[in-house]
Parts: sequence; structure tokens; C-alpha cells
Amino acid sequence: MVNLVGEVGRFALLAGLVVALYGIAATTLGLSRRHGGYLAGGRRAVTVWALLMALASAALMTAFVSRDFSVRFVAMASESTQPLLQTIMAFWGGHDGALLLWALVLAGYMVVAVWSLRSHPDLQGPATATLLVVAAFFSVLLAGASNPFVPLVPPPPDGQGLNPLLRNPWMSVHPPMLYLGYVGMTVPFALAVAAMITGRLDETWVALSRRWIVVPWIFLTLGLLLGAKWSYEVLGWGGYWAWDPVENAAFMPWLTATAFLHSIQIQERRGMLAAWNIALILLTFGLTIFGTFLVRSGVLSSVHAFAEAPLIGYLFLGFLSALMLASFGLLAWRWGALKSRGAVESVISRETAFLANNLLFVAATIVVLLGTMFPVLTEAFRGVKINVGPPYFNTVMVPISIGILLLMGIGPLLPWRLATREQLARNFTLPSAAAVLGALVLGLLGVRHAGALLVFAAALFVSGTIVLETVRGTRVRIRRGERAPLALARLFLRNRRRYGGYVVHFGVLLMLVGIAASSAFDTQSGATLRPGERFVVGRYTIEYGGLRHSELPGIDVTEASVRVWAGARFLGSYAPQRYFYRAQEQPMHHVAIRSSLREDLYIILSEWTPDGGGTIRVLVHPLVSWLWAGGIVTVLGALFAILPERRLRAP
Amino acid sequence: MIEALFFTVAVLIAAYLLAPAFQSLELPAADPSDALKSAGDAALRALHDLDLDWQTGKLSESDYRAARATLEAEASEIFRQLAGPGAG
Repeated sequence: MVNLVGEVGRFALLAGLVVALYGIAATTLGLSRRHGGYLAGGRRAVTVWALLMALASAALMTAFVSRDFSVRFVAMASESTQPLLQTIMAFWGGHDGALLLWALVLAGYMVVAVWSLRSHPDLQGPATATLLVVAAFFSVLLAGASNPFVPLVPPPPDGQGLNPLLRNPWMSVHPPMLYLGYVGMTVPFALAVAAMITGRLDETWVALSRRWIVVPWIFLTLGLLLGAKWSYEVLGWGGYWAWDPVENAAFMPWLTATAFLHSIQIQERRGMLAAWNIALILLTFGLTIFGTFLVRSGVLSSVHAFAEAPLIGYLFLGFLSALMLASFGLLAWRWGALKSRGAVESVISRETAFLANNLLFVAATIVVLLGTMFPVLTEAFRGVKINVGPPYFNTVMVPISIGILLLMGIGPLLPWRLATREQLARNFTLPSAAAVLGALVLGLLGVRHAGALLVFAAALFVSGTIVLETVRGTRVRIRRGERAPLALARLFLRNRRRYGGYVVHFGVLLMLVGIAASSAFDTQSGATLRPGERFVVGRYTIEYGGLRHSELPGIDVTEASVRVWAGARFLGSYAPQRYFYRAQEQPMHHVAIRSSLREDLYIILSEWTPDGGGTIRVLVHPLVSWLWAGGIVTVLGALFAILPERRLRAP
Repeated sequence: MIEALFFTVAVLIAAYLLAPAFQSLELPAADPSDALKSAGDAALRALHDLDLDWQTGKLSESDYRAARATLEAEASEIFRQLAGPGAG
């Protein structure tokens, strides 16, 4: 019997490969022979490739929803008892489907990018060809080694089910957001290649690149945050970031993209760092492919990694090497045209602050890269895998983060070119005083952790600069006769990039404060208790009420009843659970979390005894909610900053 | 049956993709003023930012005047070029 869904999927993926290859050939011929018809054929190939990826995705989703276990990937990633949302999530719950999601997201970006470049036809052709090269690579994988439509004969009566770790609502949004971030970096890469090929490294490229990198940056930020939230709620270890290779893989392109978002402003205002900016874009895209290689090659072990697939890993590595060689070769070729028009005139200027910021972001990327690859390097040179672990990352990244935090306050208050001593005194006295005073008060209140104290002081300094900038800007408008609320609103609306940037900075400092506080001041305790017994952790009293066993389809559920007091005040009853997935023979924590602005109470049911005793572990994390709130503020600020600005009029 | 359907779709795709190659479509010309327009926008934004920097006390009067004169000259040159060769 013909499996229609599988046949349609295989046809779409194979046709996609042919179309992408045709698109590359047509666009290249069009560019070399200056033939508009061929170029139009290349553009049509983008549309058709996108439609074919959409068709393949629809076919796979149909196979999942109809529980068609004659498709091997569906049988591996889902089972008949899974709820609909988990069945939909299974699409990206395995390697092959995740690659198809990648291709689908790329297809969407390509259609929008090629369409939006119609007013820049000289950039459109080379950018289209570059995008199609990436599309062709993914088509090669999807039509061959990673085809999600490989049939399974005979089909099993039921599937193996989605990895229990992925059966969490955050997984419905984390991978799509991460991919929207990762894949979106292909467009600025294609624009950079197009600019180098055509020599159009002017303000048009600057404006296009900035716009096209902010969007994936926002998605990557969201993806990282949602991944941290998933780790916090699902893995049951109480943390949200473990410097795991796959987390690091997503973090590195975020770091270089953030560096670019700052250094592009130096190019825009001073005509400097053009080559550096191109290199950052190439590196950012290269790191997204490198991250995918890490996840899929099996060279590093991670809770997030897909099963080992060395062939896929080699293909990614080969593709990455070829692209980086070609694109950095182009950069070397255009080096002469990328000379800076301006020069740093003073050490105390905004461009110097941005330069320092870039050095710190790149240093952070190198630190993360080295730490991530250390086991591979030690295995290559010493024959044994050695992991550096969180102590290495924390030791190096804490001072770098404090440096970046300080520069977030210093940069915006410095003028371009140079600052005088009087300006420095005028701009920095208040924020510095706030930082010193805040640190003193915190010290008097008993905060003794040096790293955390430094972060809090730096955060107060940055907050001071943001408040100062906002108050001064609002006053300027009030002096023109506007009422205070209107003045504040118009200040933000008419300076979206600048004040959107300040909102982003405020979000980041909230996140860093949350990270510092929850890392430095967490307390935890655990006890094995009989029903009715209590133990104390921090200011909380925990009473264990006993166990309840129940069943969900395919899952044994054990639930503890826990009552919590803060002093004499009863806070509520909580029910930490432990799931046991029978088919996968895998246990999973479902922690109970009481979240407030002040701190999170994180309750885990670790073990239990047959006679009803339970081991309860409780962690108290101060200010964790600041991390999530800061993430939301950061994303909102970035969205505000890219809203189209009112067109300024010529003088 | 399914093979016939795929064959038909493949032929339609091929026809759609290849059709423009047989047409003598003109190569879309890049707007020569494209870069100038972007440069003009950037120059105006720089002036707007400089004014805000001055109003919020980041610059001394003399530094502001000097920087504004430079930026105004750059912007004027860009808009003169945009207006065309005859523009004064």
C-alpha cells in the first residue's frame, strides 16, 4: 500500500534539492551574463523552494497528527497516547524533523528577504544565490541522510514516544524561537556576502544589516531565555544555566551578534570598523552552523543533544569550513575598500566605549568556545576528555560580565569623538554616587559576596545613567512647553533606537542582577520525612504530608503533599511530582515552584520509601524572577528600537 | 496514479522556473542614488542625535558647534548630490 504522506514528503524534499540547485545556477548565470531572465528564475526558485518546504512540513505534521507509524521518524518521536500538543512538538523533537523545521524557517526568511531586497537589485542577486546555497545544503541533508520520511516496514503498532525531557509546554516554543534566531542570521550573512561581491559596503548595507540582525537577535534572546526556563522547570536540578555545550552553542552567536549591534553604530557614525563588522556577521553565521554541528555530531555530550550522527556532523563541518573559507576570502579580497574613514580621536569617547564593549563580547565568545571545545581538544592532544565545567566559565565570565555591565552605563553618556573632564564630572557623578552608596548600604545590610556586590553596584550605576538620560531628555521637551507625561512619551517615540536601547540595557541589568543574586545567595536543604514531619530551610518551614500515587496514559505519577510556612504565615500547599515514563523507563521531576519578586521556593520530590516516607529537597533562589522579567524587558526594548522611525527632514 | 501526479507537478514547477530564462527581461538597474539616500538618512539621524546629546548636556557648546558644522556640511553635500548635478 502506498503511503501518500511519506511519498509527498519525499517528493517535496527531493524536488526542493533540484529547485535550490537550479536557483543557484540560474542566479549565478544571471549575474555573470547580466541576464534579468535568469535572475528572475533564481527568485522564483526561492518561492518554489519555500512552498516545497512548507509542503514537506505539512506532510510530516499530517503524519504525526494521524499517528502514521509507517514513517520511521513519526514512530521514533511519538506514540498513540501522547496529547496533541506533544505530538505537534514531536515534529522538532528529533534530528530529522528539527532539520525540516530549520529549512521551513529558512524558507520564510528567504522569501521575505528576497522580496524586501527588490529595491536594491544589485544586492538582491548575490544575496539570493548565497541564501540558495544554504538552502541547497539543508536540502541535501533532508533528501538524503536526514530524510524524515524514511518508511518503516512493517509499521509498529505504536511509536516509541517523544523523549520525556521534551514533554514540556516550553518545548513548544523554545526550539522554534531558537531556530528563528539561528536561521535568521543567514540573511545578514547573505547581505554581507552580497555587499562584498558588489562592493556596496556603504550606508545602505549598514542600514539593511542592522535591521536584519535585530530580528533574529530578538528570537535568539527569546530562545535562550525559554531554554533556561525549560532547564529550570524540567531538569529538576534547581538551576537554569549549566554551561552545557548546547547552551553555549546558542549563546556564542548571541554574543557576536550583540557585539555587531554595538559596533555597527561606530561604522554608521564614524565610518570606522567596516571590516570588523563584516567579520562579526560572518562569525555569527558560522557560529550558528557550528552550534548545529555540536548538537548533531555527537562530539560532545549534552542533555540537549540529538543522538550521535557522525556523518551529519562531518557534513556540517565541511559546509561550515567551505562557507567560512569563501566568505573570509571575500573579506580579504575587499580589505582595501573597507579602510576606516575616521579614527579614534580620544580614549574617552563613545566609540572607545563601544570598542571596549566589542572586545569584551569577543573575549566572552572565545572563553565560551574554548571551554566548550576543551574536552575535544584534550582528547585530541592527550587522549582523554577533560571537562572544564561551570567553575571555569563562572571565574572568567563574571569579570567580563561586570565589565560589559559598566560599559552599558558609560557608553551612552559619552559623546562621540571626545569628552572633556567637565562633561565626565557632570554625567557620571550621580550614577557613580548611586553605585557607591548602594554598595555601602548593601554591605551594611550584610551582603558580603564580592562578585554579587560588584554586579549590584554596577547595576545601580547603569540604572543611574538610564534615569539621568531619561530625566534630562524629558526636561528638554518640558522646556519646550510639553507636559511631563507627553514629554516622556515623545522622548521615547522620537528617539526609538536610543531609548529602546536603554530599555534593552535595563532588561539586561535586571537579568544580571537576577543571575548574580540567585547564584551567590541560594540556599538549599533536604530531608527524608514521615508524614506530618517538618524541616526548615532559610525562612521557610516545610511540612511533608505524605504521598499519592496515580496513573496517566503511559506514566506512573507519584505526588508529595507539602505545606509551606514563612515564619507563622501559611503560604500554601504544594505538590512536587515524579513521573515515571513506562515505555522509556525514564523518571522525570515535576518540581513545585513558588515564585515571587523576592525569591523562588523550589520544591523537589527526590525519593520515597514504600511505607510513605518521602525525601524532599528545597532550594531558595533569590531574585530568579528578575531574570525572566529582565528577559521580557530586553525583548520589548529591542522590539521598540526596531519600530520604523519617523523620517527626519533635510535641513 | 501518484507518480503521474508528481510528474505533473514537477513539469509545472520546471515550466514556472524556466519561463523567465526564455524572456529577454532587462536586468533591474540599481538606483544610483540608493547609497546617497541611505547616507542622507544616516546624516540626518546623526544631526538629530547630536542635538539630543547637546540638549542633555553631553557636549560643551564649542564641541557641539564644531560637530554640528561638520555634520551639516556632510549632510548638505549629500543632499546637493541627491538633488542632481545642477543643484547649487
